[in-house]
Amino acid sequence: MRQSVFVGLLILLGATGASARSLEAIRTRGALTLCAHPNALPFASKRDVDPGFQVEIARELAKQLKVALEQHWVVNSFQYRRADCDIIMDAIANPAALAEVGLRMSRPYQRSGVALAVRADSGAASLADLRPGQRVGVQVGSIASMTLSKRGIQTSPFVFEDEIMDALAKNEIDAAAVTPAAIGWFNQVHPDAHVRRIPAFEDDPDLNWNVAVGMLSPDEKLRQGLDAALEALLADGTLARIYAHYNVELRSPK
Amino acid sequence: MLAPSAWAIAPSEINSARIEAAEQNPGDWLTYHGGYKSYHYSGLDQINASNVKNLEVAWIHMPGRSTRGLQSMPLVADGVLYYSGSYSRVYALDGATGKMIWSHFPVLDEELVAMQTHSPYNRGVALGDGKVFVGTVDGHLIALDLKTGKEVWNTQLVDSKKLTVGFTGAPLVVKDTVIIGSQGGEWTSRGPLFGVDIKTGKKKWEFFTVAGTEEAKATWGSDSWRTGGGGAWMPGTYDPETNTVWWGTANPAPLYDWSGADWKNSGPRPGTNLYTTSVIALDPDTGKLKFYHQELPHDAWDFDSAVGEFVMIDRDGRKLVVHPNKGGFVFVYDRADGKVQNVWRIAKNINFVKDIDPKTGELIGRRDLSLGKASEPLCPAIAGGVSWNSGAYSPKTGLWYKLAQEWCMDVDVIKTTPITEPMAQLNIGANFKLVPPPDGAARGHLDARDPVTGAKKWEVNFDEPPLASVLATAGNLVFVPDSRGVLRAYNAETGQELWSHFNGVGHNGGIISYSAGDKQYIAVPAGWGGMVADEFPALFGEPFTSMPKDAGALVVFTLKQ
Repeated sequence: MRQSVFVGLLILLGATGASARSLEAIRTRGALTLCAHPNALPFASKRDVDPGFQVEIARELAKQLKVALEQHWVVNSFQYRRADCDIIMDAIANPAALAEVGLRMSRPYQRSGVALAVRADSGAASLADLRPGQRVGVQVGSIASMTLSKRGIQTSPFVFEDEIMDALAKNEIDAAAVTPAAIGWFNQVHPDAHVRRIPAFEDDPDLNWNVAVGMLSPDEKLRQGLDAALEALLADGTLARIYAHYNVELRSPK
Repeated sequence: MLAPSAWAIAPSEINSARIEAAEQNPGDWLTYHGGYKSYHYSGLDQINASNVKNLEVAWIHMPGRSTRGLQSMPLVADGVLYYSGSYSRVYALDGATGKMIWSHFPVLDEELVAMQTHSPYNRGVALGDGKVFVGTVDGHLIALDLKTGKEVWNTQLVDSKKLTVGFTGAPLVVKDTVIIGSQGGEWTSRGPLFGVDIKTGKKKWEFFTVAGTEEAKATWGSDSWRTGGGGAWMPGTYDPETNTVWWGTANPAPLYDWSGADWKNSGPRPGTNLYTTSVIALDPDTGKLKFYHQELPHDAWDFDSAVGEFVMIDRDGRKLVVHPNKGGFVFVYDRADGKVQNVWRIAKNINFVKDIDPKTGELIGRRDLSLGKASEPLCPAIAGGVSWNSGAYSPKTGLWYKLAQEWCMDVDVIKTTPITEPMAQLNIGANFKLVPPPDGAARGHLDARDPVTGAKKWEVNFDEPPLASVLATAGNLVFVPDSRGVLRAYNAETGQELWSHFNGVGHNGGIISYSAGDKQYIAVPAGWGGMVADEFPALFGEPFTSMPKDAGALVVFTLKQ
C-alpha cells in the first residue's frame, strides 16, 4: 500500500476549477466519479481483481443511484478538483477539516482511527507495556507521531503504512501505529507473519474518527441519495461483506 | 565591444575548461550562473548606459504550455540559445533570429507530474560534451545531442513514484560529471544530489543531504532521518582551484515543528538535522563530503540554503565565496575550508533570530515555535528574505546587485490533521498567511552592495518583490525583470533607471546577455507562476489576481539599427 504524505501548503492554496455536479447532472451523465488512490490496498487500487474496499463500496453506491461508476486515480487531495470527481471514500467525518479541502460529507458509515500492532510473539498487551527504548513506527507528520512523542515514547517515522508493517515484521521496530485496515490487510496477505492489534488509543478523540463519503460541491439531492444508499448497504450487509473480504471489521460510527 | 572567441579549444566543444574561461568568452553564457564564479555578469558592452534607451525587441519565442511560469535561465554557446520550459521541454534557437533549430519534448509520467507540488516548471539546462542536459519532474536526467536534440541517454535517478520528488533545477557540468539535485524539502525524501557520467549517463555517486554521513545521521533523533526532506533544488557551482563543488541544501521536513526551545530533544525531528539548510562542499569525482557549514541548525522556518548563487571573490589575498540564505542573511566563507568570514543581513525585517554572529555564524536569539498561533508575525515570511533567483556581481564596479524581500507571516503551528485515509497526512506542520512587515508595506528592493562587507551603495525599491534573476553587464548596466512584467535597466554605479520595457506578463526566471553575429543581445523569459508567485494576489491584488500562470515567452532584445 502506498500512502502519500499530503502537502499542507496545497490545502492552503485551495482547490479550484471544477463546477458542482448535482444528482441530476450525474444521472444525465450516467456516471458517478470516484477519486481513489491507484496503489493503496486494501483501500483502493487499479487492480481488476480485489480493487480495494473503497472501489467496491463506490460501485455499490453507484448501483444504488442507478448510474455507472467512473474512476479517476489521484494520489493527493489537491487533485480531487483537478480530476473533477464527485466523491472520495474514507473522508474523516469532521466537517471543518473537510471544508479546508472543499469537501462536504455524507452520513458516517464506518469507525476508524489509529491502532497499535505488535508481533505475535510480543508480550505487550497495551501501550503501557512498551519498554523504554522500544520504538513505535508512525506515519511521518501524523497526530499519532506527535501524541507518542509527547508521551516520551520513541517513534520511528515512515512514509507508507505498508513500510511500517514490513518493518514490524522484520523486527526493526517494536510496534506500529497504523489504521486497523492496514493491520487486517497485512495479516491477510502475510499469513505467516501474523501481527496482533492491542489497545492503545481507544480514549483519544484525536486518534479515533468516523468516516463518511466526501463529496465535492454536491447538491442536497446527491447528499440525500448517498445517505440513503449507505443506509441500504449497511442494512443488507453489503458493507460488512466488502470489508470482510479485505479482513477489515465494519464498526459502527460513534 | 564584442570580444572575439578566445578559447583555445574547438568552439563547438563545451567542457569545464571553456566554462572556467567564461570571462574571456563573454559572447557565451555556458552555465546557469554564467560561469563557475556565479557572477551573472556579461563582459559585453555594445549595449551600455549611453545607448540602452535604443534597446528594442529583436525576436520572441513562445514555447506554449508554460504552466506555473517560464522560469528558465537560457544558455548560449556559439550563437545558439538553449533553454527549457515547463514540462522539461528544451529548445535550441538561432541566437540572432530566434528560428528553431530543434526542440525536445520528453515523455513524462503525467500522473507523477500532476501530483508534484513544484511541477511542471523547469529552471534550466546544462551544456557539455556535445550534449544538453535537463532534469525532469519525474526524476530523470536526460542528455540531448547538442546539434540535433535527439536523446543520447536518459537515466532515472529518483523513484518519483515513491518519493514524490524530481528535478526542477538546472544541472551543472564539472569535468566528466553532470551534477543535479532533487527538489522537495517538504516531502519525505532525503534530498539526494547525483553525479552522473557525462558520456554514458551512468550514476557515479549519490549524496544524501539528509543523514549523508554517520555523523549527520546522529543529528536526527527518533530515526527522523528516514523522512527528513532536504533537497538540493538549485544548481551550485565549482571551484576549479580546489576541485570542490559548492551546493546549497534545502530545509528539513516537516517545515515547522512544535518542539519550541527543546528542539534538540523533542519534536518530529530532534537535533540539528545535518546537512539540511547548509552549504556543502563535495568532491565532484566521488561525491564525498569535504566540509560543510550549516547556515541554520534545525531550520524551523523553511529558510533553506538551496537558494541563490555562490559568488567567488578574491580580495586582499583571501579567496572567498558569498552565498545568500532565504532567511535574509548573506554568508561569506573561506573557499578553502568553508569557515565563516562574515555574515550580514540584506533583508530589513528579520525576527526568526535576533542576529547571526558574523565571526562564527552562530544563531543568536532563536525564535523556535511551539504548538499554536505565534504571538507576532514571523519575519521574513516563508517566501524568504531572498528567494531562489540570483543576483549579479560586476567585477567592474565591485558591487553585488541582489534582490531582497520584505514580508512576514502569521503562523499557527498545528496538529497535523489527517484529512482522509489512506492519503493524507500534513507535512508542513502549520497554517500561515503572508502579511506586511512592521516597517511598512510588503515590498522588494534591489541593493548594490559590497558582497564581502555588505556595505550598501544604493538601493531601488519595488512595490512588489521581483522574482526573477538580475543581470549586470560591462556596459555599466544592471537589468531587473520585475514581477509586473517590466524589464528595467539601471545605471550600475548610481541605480538610476535608464530604460524599461513591458513584456506583458510577470518575470519569474533568469536573464542573460550574449552575442550572435556582431550583435549583443539580452534574453529574458517572461511567464508568471510558482510557489512564491502564488502569494501575490492576496498581498498585492491586481495585476496579479488576473495574471495568467500558463503563458510565457522568451523575449530577446538588441539595439536599434
